[in-house]
Amino acid sequence: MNTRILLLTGATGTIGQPLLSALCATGDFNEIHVIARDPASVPIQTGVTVHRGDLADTGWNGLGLPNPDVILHAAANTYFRGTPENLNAINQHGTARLLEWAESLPRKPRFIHLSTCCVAGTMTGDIPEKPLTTSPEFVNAYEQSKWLAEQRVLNSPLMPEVVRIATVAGAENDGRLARPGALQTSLRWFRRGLLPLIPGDTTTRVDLISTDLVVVFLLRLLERTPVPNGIYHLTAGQNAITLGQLIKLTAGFCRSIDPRWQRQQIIPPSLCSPAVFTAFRESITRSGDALFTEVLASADAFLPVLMHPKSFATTATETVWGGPLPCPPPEEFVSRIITQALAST
Amino acid sequence: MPATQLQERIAITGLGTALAPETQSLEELALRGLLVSTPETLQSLGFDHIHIAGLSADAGFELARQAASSALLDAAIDPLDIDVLLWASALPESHHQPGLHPQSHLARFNSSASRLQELLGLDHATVQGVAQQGCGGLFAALRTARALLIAEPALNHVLCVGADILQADCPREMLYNVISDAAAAVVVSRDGCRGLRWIDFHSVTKGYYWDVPARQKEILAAYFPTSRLIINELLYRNNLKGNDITHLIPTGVGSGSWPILANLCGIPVDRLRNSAGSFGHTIAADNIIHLEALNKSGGIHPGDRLLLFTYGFGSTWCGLLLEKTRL
Repeated sequence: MNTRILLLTGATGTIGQPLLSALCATGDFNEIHVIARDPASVPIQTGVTVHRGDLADTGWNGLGLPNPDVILHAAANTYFRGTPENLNAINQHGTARLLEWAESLPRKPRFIHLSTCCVAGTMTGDIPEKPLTTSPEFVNAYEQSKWLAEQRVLNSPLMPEVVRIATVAGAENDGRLARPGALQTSLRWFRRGLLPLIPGDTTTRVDLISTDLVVVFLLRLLERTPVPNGIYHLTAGQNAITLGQLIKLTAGFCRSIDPRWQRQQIIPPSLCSPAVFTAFRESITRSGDALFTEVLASADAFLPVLMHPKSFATTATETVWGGPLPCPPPEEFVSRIITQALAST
Repeated sequence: MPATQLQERIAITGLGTALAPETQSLEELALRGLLVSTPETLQSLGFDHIHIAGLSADAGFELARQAASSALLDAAIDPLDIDVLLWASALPESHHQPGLHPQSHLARFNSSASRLQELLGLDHATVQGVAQQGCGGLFAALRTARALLIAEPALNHVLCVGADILQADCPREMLYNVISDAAAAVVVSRDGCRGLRWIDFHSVTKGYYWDVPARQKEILAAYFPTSRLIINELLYRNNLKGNDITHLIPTGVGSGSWPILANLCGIPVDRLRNSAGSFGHTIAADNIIHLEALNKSGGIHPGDRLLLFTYGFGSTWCGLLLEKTRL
C-alpha cells in the first residue's frame, strides 16, 4: 500500500464513525485527517488529526490540511425533510468545494465519494453502475442534492469513484446505528400503531444494508487500484428482505413485548398501491394534521424506495469484493435492527 | 321450515330517513366557533354544509318519528305489526325525553323509545335501547333485530330507529368530520321476500380506544387497517371477492377516505354509492340515507350485493352484507 495520508469527511456520521475506527485499525495510513464542525465530537483515536471546519461554509478552502493521498468523502446532510438550501449547502456545494480544493493540490489524490441509491429518484427497474446524467424525478430535495453532487463528482478531472449506498440500517451484530435514522423512527410509529398504510406488496424488496458491509467494502476498495469514475452499488439486492417479511418480523416483535399487540388492539398497517398511498398522503396534507404529517415525513426515508422499486446492478461492486457481497441473512439482520429500535421504546 | 332457511329469509323491508331541515355552511359554523379546522380545510376533505336540527327540545325526536313513519310506509306494514322497537343512539341525551315535568327526578326515566312507541301506535311492540356504539349504533340494532327474529319465532317485524342530534352550542367537528343531525329507521322482517336479504354481519370492538380524546390519533391510524380487516373477513367467510360487491354504501365521513378503503378491500371504486350527495356525517343515519336514495332511484336490482360499513367511537367497526332479493 502506497497511500499514507487519508482525509475523511463526515467522520461523526452513521458511516463515518465506524469507518474511522476501522481505518485506524488497519494501520494502512500513517496519518488520518478528519474535518469536523465540532472537533470534540470526534472520538480521540491514535493517528487521527481533527481539523475544525465545515464544508458547507462558503469560506472553506482546506487551509491547514495536508495533501492527502486519499479523500473519503462521507459528509452529507441526510435529513430527508431538509430544505433544498440546507441540503445543497453540504451535499452539492460542500462536495464541489472539497473537489475544487482537491483538484488544486499538487499531488492529485484518489477521491472516493459516498453517494446514495436515492440518486435514482423515481426511476424503476434496473439501475446500471453508470453515471445517471439525465435528471430523474425526485421524491425529495435530499435525492436531488445527492444527484447534483454526483454530477459534479463525475465531471472532476480527479476521476473520482462513487459508491452508491442503500439504506444503512445498523450494525450486523446488534443492530445499533450511531445516529438512529428515519427507519428507526418509522419502526417506532409502527409499534405505536400510527402508521396506517405502507405502499407496496408483500414481495416488494426493502433494501437495508449494514454499516459493517459499507465499512468492509470501502476498506477493500481502498486496497484495489482505482478505476476512473468507477461506480459501485452497495445494496442487499436479492438478499434484501421483502416488505411482507419486514412487517411480519416487526409485528412479531411488537407482539412479543407489547400487550396492545398481543390483544390485537393494534394491528399491522395495510399494504396499498402507490396510487392509494398518494391519495392517503393527500388527505393527510389536506387535513393539516401535525402528528400524521410527522409520521409521513419520517416514513419518507424509505417509502419512496417502496413506491419506486428498482434493482441495482452490482457487477463492478462484486468485482471489487471478489464475489457476492457478504450480506448477513436478512431475517436475522433485520430482527436485530427491529429489536434495537423498539426494545427500549 | 329448517332454521337455516328461516334465517335466509330475514331481510330489510323498509327504510326511512330524516335529515334536519335547516342547513348551515362551514363558514357560518366557523363564525359560531363550532369548528376546529378552517372551512377551507374541511371543504378540501369533502364537506360543504351540514344539517342542523332546530332548538326545540323535540327536534331530535321529531326526526326519529319522521324516519320511523317513513320506514313503516316503505315496508307497507301497519304499526301494530311491529313486534319490537329498537332505539339506537350514541349520545346519552338522545335516549332521554324531558316530558311534562323535566325537573322531576323521575323524568330521568323518560325514554325516547317508549315515547316513540306511544306516538306511532306500536302497541304490540316491546322496546329496547342500543347504546355505547357511537356511529355504529344502528348497525348494532340491526344485528340485534336479526338475532331476535331467529331466537323468537313469534316475532315477525323489528323496527330499528337511530337518532342523534348535537346540542346547539356543541362543536360540530369531530376528527376532521363535520356532524349533521339526522335519524334513520329500518324495518327488519322475518320473511323479506321483496327486500334486502341479510347475508352476514361482522363487527369488532376494541375497548382499547374507549377514551376518544386520549386516543383520537390512534383511532385515526387504526381506521384503515381495521376497516380492511373487517370487510375482508366479511367477504372471505361468504366466499366473495371485492368485485362481487355491487354497491358499497358509505358513510358521510371525509369523502377521500372511501376510495382508499374500497381500494384496500379490492372493491372497484365505481361501486361507491354516494347516492344522497354530501350532507355531512350524521352519527346514526349515513349509510341508510345513501341506501334509501339508491333504492328510490331504482339503482338496486335483484341479485345485487350491498356492503354497508361504518365505524363508531367505542371503538366498533362493523360491516353488513345484503343482497337484493331475487324475484
